[in-house]
Amino acid sequence: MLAIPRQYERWLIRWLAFARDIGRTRHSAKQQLDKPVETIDRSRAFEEFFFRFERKIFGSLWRITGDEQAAHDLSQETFLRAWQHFDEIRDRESGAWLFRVAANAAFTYLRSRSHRATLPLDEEQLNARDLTAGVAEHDLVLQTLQSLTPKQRTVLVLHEVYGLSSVEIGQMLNLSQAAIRMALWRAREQFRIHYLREEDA
Amino acid sequence: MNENAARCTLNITAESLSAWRSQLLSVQEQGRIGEHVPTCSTCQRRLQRFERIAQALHSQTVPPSGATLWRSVQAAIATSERQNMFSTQKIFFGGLVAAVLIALFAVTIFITVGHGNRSQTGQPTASVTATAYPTSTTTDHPTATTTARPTSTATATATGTIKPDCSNFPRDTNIALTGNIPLPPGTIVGATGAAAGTYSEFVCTPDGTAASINATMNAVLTQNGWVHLTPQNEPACLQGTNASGWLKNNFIVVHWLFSFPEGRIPIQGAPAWVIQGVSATNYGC
Repeated sequence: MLAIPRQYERWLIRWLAFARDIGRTRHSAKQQLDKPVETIDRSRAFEEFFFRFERKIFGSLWRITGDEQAAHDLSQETFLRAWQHFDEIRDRESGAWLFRVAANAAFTYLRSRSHRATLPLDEEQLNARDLTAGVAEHDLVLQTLQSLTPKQRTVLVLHEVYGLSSVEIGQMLNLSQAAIRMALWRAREQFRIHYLREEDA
Repeated sequence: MNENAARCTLNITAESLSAWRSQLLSVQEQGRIGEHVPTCSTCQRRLQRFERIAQALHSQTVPPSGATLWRSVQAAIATSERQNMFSTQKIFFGGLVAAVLIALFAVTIFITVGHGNRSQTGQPTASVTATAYPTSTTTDHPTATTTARPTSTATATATGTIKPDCSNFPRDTNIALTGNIPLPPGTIVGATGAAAGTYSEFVCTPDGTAASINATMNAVLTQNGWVHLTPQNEPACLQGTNASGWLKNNFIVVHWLFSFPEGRIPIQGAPAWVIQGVSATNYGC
């Protein structure tokens, strides 16, 4: 006969209680109405958080990757991580955490597609451009952005478009101030040459 | 660039101006260029250029994303939660399987070890431990050459208790008897070695409290490890006798546990005997 020693009984009871809790959680996941109040509050708070930062994160990723679908996927990845760490970051207003996650996700993505990370500029298209046409202007900005290295592009976008300071960017991307200074300078030079098409004054 | 920089009265390069705009210079340098810029058309033109670049970046029309992205994020969260749930379940069921396996292992061990501990309910059990110490290889055990089972003349008393005559038992002088009760006077412990791998041990108490203990190891003791000893040819009063032992470098610790059938209780009120120190040199070990 299989007799369970007394000292193991409480462990067995705990396992059974654990199994029961799992069953309950699965059940409540299926039935929204059974969600505890704090879960609903968390979901609502996260929705607000999402729509507060969504445009910034998606926009930055779209500019950095130059690809709408990639920006969508990376934004999703970023906000999924935000959900997983929501209790830690929900009270932060700056969104620096989100930008850091997004930028690193973008770097990873660009590294995995390294052969496409930097696109050469199409000189013919540049010569034929009509600056009065908004679409061409828009394409040219994107094209020039894509001609930058991922680091230059990310630093320029985060700094010029989203107003992050060099210190914030440095912490975010683990870059020195000198590296940021150089990246910004080279990015601006690239824009001067290919987008503004101006000689230095 | 350098030629252009020369036009600036302070020779401020475009690169420095770029750093100044992004506040990447020291406080002193920031101040110095900050004072200079309003007076320098070259620097102002460069700064305007930087500003146009910034405006161009700002003017980009970002594709709409909100609702679609929100739905995707919700779906990803749901998937992630399900996976987490699955992981938790995996941990639970893995733990459960491990627990069952451990329980089975424990039961197996219990059955294996406890095999020798079996006693019938309501029957007193006498426990005898025989420890076999190998002695010098040149010294044969006094009873080593005895291959015959020890014999005794048992006489039945009025109460039915077997009273053997222990005088014919081969004696093992190397044995030491210890126990939680004194053994009856005249108790003899002996051991015999027969064929290789066979080892017999017996105890004879003249007052019949223990008629005989005679079990034979059939284990082939050629390597270290656990050996299970299957008693054979036990006297009827010792049915249920079993033993097992651990062999290490010819040092055998054998635990004998005897169950006496009802009505053949050799030691009244005695819960156990312990016999240690049986010499078993060359008994096939």
